[in-house]
Amino acid sequence: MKKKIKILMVCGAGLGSSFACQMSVEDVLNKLGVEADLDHCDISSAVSMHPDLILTASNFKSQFEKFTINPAETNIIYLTNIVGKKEIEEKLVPILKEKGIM
Amino acid sequence: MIRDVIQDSHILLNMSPKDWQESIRLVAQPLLKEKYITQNYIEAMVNAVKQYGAYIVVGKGVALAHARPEEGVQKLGLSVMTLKDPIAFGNQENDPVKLIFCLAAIDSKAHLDIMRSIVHIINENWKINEIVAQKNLMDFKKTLEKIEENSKND
Repeated sequence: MKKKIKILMVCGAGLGSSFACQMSVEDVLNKLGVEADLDHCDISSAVSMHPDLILTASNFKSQFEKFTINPAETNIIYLTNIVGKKEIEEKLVPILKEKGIM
Repeated sequence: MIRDVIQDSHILLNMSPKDWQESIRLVAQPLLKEKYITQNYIEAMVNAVKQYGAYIVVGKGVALAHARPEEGVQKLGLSVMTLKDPIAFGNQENDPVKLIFCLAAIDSKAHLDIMRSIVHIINENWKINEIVAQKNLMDFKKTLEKIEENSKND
């Protein structure tokens, strides 16, 4: 059985933009036929949750660069449009392939 | 559904705030007046943008103003405002903003249905444009209802 990937959507408050992002990601994953463990949270809790993958808005890049996130453990995708399914799919597929999920 | 939580008094149409900050303060007023949120929540929404940037502009021309429940949410609520003239919030991809939602969430899950409705709207430019084009309350509500019905089949 394939490993279930843990994906975390992150924004400032952890319940608006990240939640919206999660719904678009869910749609994209359904389309791709990939099962995943999805959740959303605020930026200060993100690091301690050790997800396989973080999706967040590109404006959070400088914040994330201050954290110590092990790139071997967690990939980060920065989105210019946090609910844009096309962008999510384009950036998600290579990582899912790299991780052997697809 | 948005229309299950939104009261007539929470709908502000064709408004003219002078900048993004005033937009957030203005769209929040109905929720403040009716004690869904405290003044502190409004400051937290504004500060979130100052601190992290305009990530609350979640779709083409659509902002979702919000902060954390503990910043001052008393009950789950939503208000909405359309702008007479679009305003730049500082989001390269999705500016200028013409439609603003103000979300008062009590936890990270209870507003799932509302968020689903909002996401269905912001994923389609025609839905945004049609909502923004409505100039009176009755037409606005009718359009929202039509779009939410339509989204059920997505």
